[in-house]
Amino acid sequence: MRSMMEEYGEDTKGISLKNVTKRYGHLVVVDSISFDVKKGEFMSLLGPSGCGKTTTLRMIAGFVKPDRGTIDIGGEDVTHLPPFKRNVGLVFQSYALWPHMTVFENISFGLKLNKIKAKTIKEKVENVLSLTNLNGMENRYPRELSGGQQQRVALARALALDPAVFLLDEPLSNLDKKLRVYMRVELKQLQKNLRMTILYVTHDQEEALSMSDRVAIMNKGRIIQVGTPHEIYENPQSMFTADFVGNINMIEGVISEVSDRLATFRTRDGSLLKVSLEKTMKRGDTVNVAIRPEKLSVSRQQPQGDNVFLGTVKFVDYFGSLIKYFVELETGLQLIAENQNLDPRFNAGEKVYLKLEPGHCYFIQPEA
Amino acid sequence: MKQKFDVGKFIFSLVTFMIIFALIFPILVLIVVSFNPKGFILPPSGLTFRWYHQALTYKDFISGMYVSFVIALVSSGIATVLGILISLSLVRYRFKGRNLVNTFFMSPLTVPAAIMGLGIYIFLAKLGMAKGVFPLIIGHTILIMPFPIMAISASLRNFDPSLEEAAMNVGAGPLRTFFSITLPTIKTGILAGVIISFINSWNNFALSIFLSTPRWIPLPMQLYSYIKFEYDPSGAALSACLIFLSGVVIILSDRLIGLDVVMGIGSRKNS
Amino acid sequence: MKIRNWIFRNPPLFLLLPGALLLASFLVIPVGWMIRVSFYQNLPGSYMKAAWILDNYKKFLGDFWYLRNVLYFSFKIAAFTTFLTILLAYPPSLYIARSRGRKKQVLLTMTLSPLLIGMVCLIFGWIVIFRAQGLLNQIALWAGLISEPVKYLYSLKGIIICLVYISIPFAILNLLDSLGRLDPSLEEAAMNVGANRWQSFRHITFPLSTPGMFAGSLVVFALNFSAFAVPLMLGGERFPMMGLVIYIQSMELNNIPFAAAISMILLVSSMIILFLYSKAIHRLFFRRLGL
Repeated sequence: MRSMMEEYGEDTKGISLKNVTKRYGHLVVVDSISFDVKKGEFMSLLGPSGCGKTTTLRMIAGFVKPDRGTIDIGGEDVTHLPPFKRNVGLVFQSYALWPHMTVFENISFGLKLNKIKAKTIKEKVENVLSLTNLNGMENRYPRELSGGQQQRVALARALALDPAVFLLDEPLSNLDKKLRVYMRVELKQLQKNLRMTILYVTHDQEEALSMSDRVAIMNKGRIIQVGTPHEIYENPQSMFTADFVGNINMIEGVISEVSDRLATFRTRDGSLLKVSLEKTMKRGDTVNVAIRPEKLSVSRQQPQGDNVFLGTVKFVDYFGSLIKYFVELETGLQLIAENQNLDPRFNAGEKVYLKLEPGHCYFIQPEA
Repeated sequence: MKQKFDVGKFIFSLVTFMIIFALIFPILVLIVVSFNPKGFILPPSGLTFRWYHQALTYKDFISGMYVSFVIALVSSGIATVLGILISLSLVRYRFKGRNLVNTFFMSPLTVPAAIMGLGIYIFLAKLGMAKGVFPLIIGHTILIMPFPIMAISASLRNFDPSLEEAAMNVGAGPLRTFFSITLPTIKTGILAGVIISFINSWNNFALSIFLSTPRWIPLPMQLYSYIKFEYDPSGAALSACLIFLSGVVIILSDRLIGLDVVMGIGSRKNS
Repeated sequence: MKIRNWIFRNPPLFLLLPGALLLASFLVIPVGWMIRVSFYQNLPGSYMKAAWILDNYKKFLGDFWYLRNVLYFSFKIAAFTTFLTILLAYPPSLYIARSRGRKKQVLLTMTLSPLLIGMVCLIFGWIVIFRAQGLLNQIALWAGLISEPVKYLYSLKGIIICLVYISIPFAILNLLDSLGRLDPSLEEAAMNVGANRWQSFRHITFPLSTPGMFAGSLVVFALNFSAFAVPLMLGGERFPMMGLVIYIQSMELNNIPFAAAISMILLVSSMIILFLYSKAIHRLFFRRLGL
């Protein structure tokens, strides 16, 4: 797939990966990936389990040696440096707090190794404890803390060393939902205030989209797309991205007609869709059209305009604030429509009309 | 790719392998000597089976093997059966003092061999049974009892009780459930228990020396006398045989049960 | 009928009964009986006579020779052996704990194989090695381990070497238990904050392995304090460790009451030593680990 290299006018003193590859036997876990994390940026590495994101993180941290490629941190080539010589702050998924040390000792351990004066250490630790809202916890042991507190100690430990970049490996995955949402906000604020450069590895797209300045989508060892959350969601450039981030209706078909601003798209089962014309489209092209469920409006009365389809609600999925309708059109095509939990609401078995604005869909080239 | 030579790692590996080599060194020596025509005079000058022939036709060794086998068989049998019962009650039921009872059954491991030997001897002497095959069997059974308990308890703990519940749900009574469902499922634990206890009885020296009579001398004691008075390579040959036997046991238990199970339990005390 | 009811109402007790009876009859009672016998009077040339006398204890505890050359001697040897054992068992345990798969299995089998092979064979192996004194000494001189030839056979050094050899597998088992439970990310976190491999070991791995070292040292000390087979085969009566003395007094000199008394002294001193040792270790190390 395509490799992505972001060129920026300013100094890119964050993380820079170029053609990094890692193989285990015949299995290529990370396949020549390149991407940058700009200084002060919050970037997420998002992908399903097994896509290679954790391996990538561990290579940046220094626990795994890449077979090929280079890794730069803060402008320095660290590819051959052992982990204890790299200036990264790592927050483990399991927190990895040392059970035989107090919170204070956990945080100050790295500082002591650098032979920093005791007084300075004390100040630093106190500073970092207040940043993470852990004042007063210095003398507790990890086993005496709650999950959320342990997570913050792990973060504090990384902060204490003032690293150039931070690597976070699914740090919130062990917390319950409410706490996770709360920590997300805290983390984002901290990052903004301290201007931390963060590479955040996760499989949770909600996290990635809500926290990041940019997101890198990874699958099967390759970077599929890099962009802002908005770009990723509204402009997916592959079927994988469109399907992985959010829900999607994916329809195959052919462009049957082209006019000055619209094209007519004919699905396999015969439905006709009027879509906004893309410059590259020609009559006879085979394309995939991707429609986000929230872009399909649902109604009992037939609306005016193009792209109105009649179907039956097969199944209703109730999510509290959202409701998903699984609708089967007369032509047999099945679409998912998503509405907010407001009237009108529909039940299974009802006949409804779906409407789609021509500009509200994406085109994705079929995979070669 | 530049790679600095890691001195620390090298020394660590070196020391480790030197120690591991020292651990298998006596075993290697015995094997080498047992095949060596010149016996103890190294370096080895050839290959011979003479010592093996001598060892395996030596009547004391043969009777020793017979005695050890009988005793080990009987005591591991008894110990395993008892072990099943005890494990069942320790794992399945919660009762006051359960930890105490567990410690009680593990106590043979903590009692020094000499004291156990002397104690059983004096007591049985008082009962009129001084030494002989029965004291040996009783002593060995007591000695090895903890092993089946450890092995079977481990197996039971990993056993999903809902398997039994399903059986009872379709109408099997407790005894039937036990024999049809429970027993086959924990058979790896039972097998491990049998093997470990058999080996420990077979190899036992310290306890046996207090309870044996001229008619009933287990193999380790025969070997000891032989080394003390004769000292020739057939002693090494016999030892090598025992070593090969242990090797066979290791391979078999790896196939049947899985080595980690056996190793994990196989060893609190071996004297 | 009543019995049947009792069985159903108390299944665990019913199951435990045979085993418990056996153990009680042939371990608990004999040891208890041995306490009684330790007060008996020994009849030289004959068996023994029932009595309540303290002669046997006086003979041991009142005799400085026994106290120094048997009790204290056994303690010194056991303590030194335990120290050496833990020291030597640590590198292989760490190495094995860090390896995986086939390699780990093979190494584990090699290090634990002495346990499956009888003591007599193993000691015999060392006797053969020691007899090649000349060869051993040459190697040791060349390796720089010693500065002049050493006599191994029937010497204290030989006994210590053999005791350590037999104890190492037990120590490895206990160490592996502790080291195996160690979460590798703890060491990685240390390296992440700047600790090199040695520092990570010293501050993280080693402290967290103390439970294993402690358990191992208990087992090994108990084993060696009452050691009997090794001093018997490698020293004859010149190195009277407690276990050996018990054997000689009872089986060769037929002084059962005395042997019983020594056994009691062995048990009690063992318990006292291990108790004090546990207390010390707990106070020094285990508060931090929350154990």
